[in-house]
Amino acid sequence: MKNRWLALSLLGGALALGGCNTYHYFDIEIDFGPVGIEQAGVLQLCHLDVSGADSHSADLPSSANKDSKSVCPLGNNWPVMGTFEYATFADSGSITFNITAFSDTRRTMDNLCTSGSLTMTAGSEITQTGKLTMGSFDDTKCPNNVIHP
Amino acid sequence: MRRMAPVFSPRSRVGASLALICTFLAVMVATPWSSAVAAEDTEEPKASRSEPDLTPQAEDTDKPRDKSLLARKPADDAVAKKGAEDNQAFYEKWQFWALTGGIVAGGVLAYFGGKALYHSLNGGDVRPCNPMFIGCYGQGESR
Repeated sequence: MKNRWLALSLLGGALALGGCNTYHYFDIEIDFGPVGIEQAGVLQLCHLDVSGADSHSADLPSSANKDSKSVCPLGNNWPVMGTFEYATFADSGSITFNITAFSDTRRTMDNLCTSGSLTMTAGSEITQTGKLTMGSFDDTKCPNNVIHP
Repeated sequence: MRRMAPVFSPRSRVGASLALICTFLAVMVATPWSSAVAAEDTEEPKASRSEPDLTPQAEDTDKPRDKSLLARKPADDAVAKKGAEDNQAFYEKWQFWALTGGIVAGGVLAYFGGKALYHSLNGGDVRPCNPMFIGCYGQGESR
């Protein structure tokens, strides 16, 4: 009889622990906002940093990284860069998504053209959607070399 | 007075003695009642001494010829089988292989079951990435 209760307790504990790690998804749409198409054409690399309740770092798809589709450099993705999904086990606290765009494949402050961030609150929802809008474009660091007639 | 020469020489006397002894021995052996002759074998061969006392089976209360008494009993088989089993090497016993198989199967089951349980406790599978998205990141980012 004791063994039965022990087994039930273990099963219950396992199920309870199983509830601790549940995926939560953030579907974030990136909008170029004030960044014009010619300015967006200067971008060579876009990078995602996640901080807060979870942390992560990744380059967005880029032909420079030989990815099959490319958002930086620009493909057919303006004025909306696209939507990415971020999966996390975090179910509380705030989580910040920060996008930085560079005019070179090297990520340095000298090459930083524009950036944008979005902070969301992790909760019990399985999927949350958000919209991240890029900020003003730094033409000084990222001059447009295209000569218009 | 002159001494007379002996009638027999010493050599002839020895020969005569030997001849007398040989004659005596021959007579002893040849004579039937002599003690030197081997005793007569009066013992009959065992096979022909007596015939077995064959009592009709109908009158034999012990029924010694009842084949059921001679047939192997289940107990005999069990004892013989147990003896044979006792003499088997450990790897020849089915219990060894049953136990080994059980341990192996249990280990494999525990490994995969534990892996599945661990995976489940860690959130299970992340949902597949929407192909319309530019990318999927975070936990299970290899989507």
